[in-house]
Amino acid sequence: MNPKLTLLALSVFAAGCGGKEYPQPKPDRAQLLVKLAARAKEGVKGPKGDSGDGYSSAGMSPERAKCYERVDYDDLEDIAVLLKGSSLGDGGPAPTSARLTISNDGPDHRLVLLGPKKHTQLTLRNSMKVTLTLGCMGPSGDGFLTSVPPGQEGVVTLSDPGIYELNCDEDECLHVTLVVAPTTWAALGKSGDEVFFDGVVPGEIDVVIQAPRLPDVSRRVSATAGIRATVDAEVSVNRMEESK
Amino acid sequence: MPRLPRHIVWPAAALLTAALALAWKPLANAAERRERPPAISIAELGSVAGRATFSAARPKQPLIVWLEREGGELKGKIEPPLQIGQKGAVFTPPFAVVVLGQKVVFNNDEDKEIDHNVYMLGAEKKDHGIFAKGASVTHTFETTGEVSLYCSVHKLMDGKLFVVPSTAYAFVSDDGSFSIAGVAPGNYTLKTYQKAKRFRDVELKIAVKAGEMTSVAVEMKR
Repeated sequence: MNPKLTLLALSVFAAGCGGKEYPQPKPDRAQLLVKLAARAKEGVKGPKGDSGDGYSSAGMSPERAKCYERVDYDDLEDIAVLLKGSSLGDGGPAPTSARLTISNDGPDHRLVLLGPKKHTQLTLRNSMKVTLTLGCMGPSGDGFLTSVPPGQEGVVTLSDPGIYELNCDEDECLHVTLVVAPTTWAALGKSGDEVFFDGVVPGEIDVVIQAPRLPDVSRRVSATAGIRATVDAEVSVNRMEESK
Repeated sequence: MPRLPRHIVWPAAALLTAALALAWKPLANAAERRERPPAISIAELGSVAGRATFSAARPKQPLIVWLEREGGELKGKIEPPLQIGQKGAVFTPPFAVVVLGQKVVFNNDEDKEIDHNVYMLGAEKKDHGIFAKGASVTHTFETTGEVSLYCSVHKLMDGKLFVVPSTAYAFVSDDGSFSIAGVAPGNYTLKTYQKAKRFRDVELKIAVKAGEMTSVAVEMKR
């Protein structure tokens, strides 16, 4: 094959794989690029979905079939990326509000991320036909207890950093984790995403990744002025004992 | 056979008994010692009873009161293994209290050839791998606290366990009452555990006396 053509083909391929363009870091600030991935447990038989290998939901009631719904690690949503470090300060992209809808299919998120601000709001939308009694309490005693009539919304606030498990009187199986980030440097992504933090104050930073139902992953990074650091973070049950 | 004098027989018997006891001691490993019930008669045991009150609506989910003994737990009988099924991609039971040292057997009792996985996060962190229909895995709990159970294959397959240090625990009934019988005398901290956390957990110092019932009022506040 013509070497020039090979080079051209490789250049086009590389350009196509280049991914998202990011601005250059400011001279006195650092950047962090967290590449999220999720991997299924090794050794599971059969592909996802109906495959005739025993996982087929044909002939099952919708409720029973729902129980056998498998985790799609290629499209795992609601992965929180939290930065922890004494020099970080405010100015991060953590959400100041969030929304959770609860319907007959369950909640639309398994993990909700909020920034650590006094007036951060969580809107709870009840799309069921009964009034929902929703509550939680975190380690510091912060929490809420509210009733949301059918078809309506309730707004609650959480300000103390920590992890809260939302509970519901009408649906004992409802599992939603509410994460109030320790700093404003926090963002949500899904597997395959790149989560980008710009304008980070240089220093030692712990990057903590929290995904629904999976062990946390933590990476320590030295954020250097004028440099973009890349962090590869895979959430998985595999080699769980090694994850921190 | 000539009869030995009493002043020789008795010291010899005592020496033989002591030698046997010394030889036996290394053989009695920790597990065997644990299985030996505490040398306390029923008359010497006390009990704890009381009522929990709530400052707001109580969730319809388990609330446990449990005792932590000052100076460490007494060695007690290990509870028989708890069986947890996985049929229908549901942990059955979905919640249970486990006593420290107790084994839990997770059975893949599916009708069809469906693989399951059990991994746990919380007080204990362990992945038990994938196992097929008919297989089971066993885990011995060695740490007190809440343990969340998951299957990495099925996204709604979640369960929860709470590991207590001894059998001195009780579920709080719908009317708020609870009762713990057969408690060895001593000083304890009574603690609460809520599967659905809605109130501040309570810790109360209590003393249990032989043959007496200790009354406790537990106020669950937000």
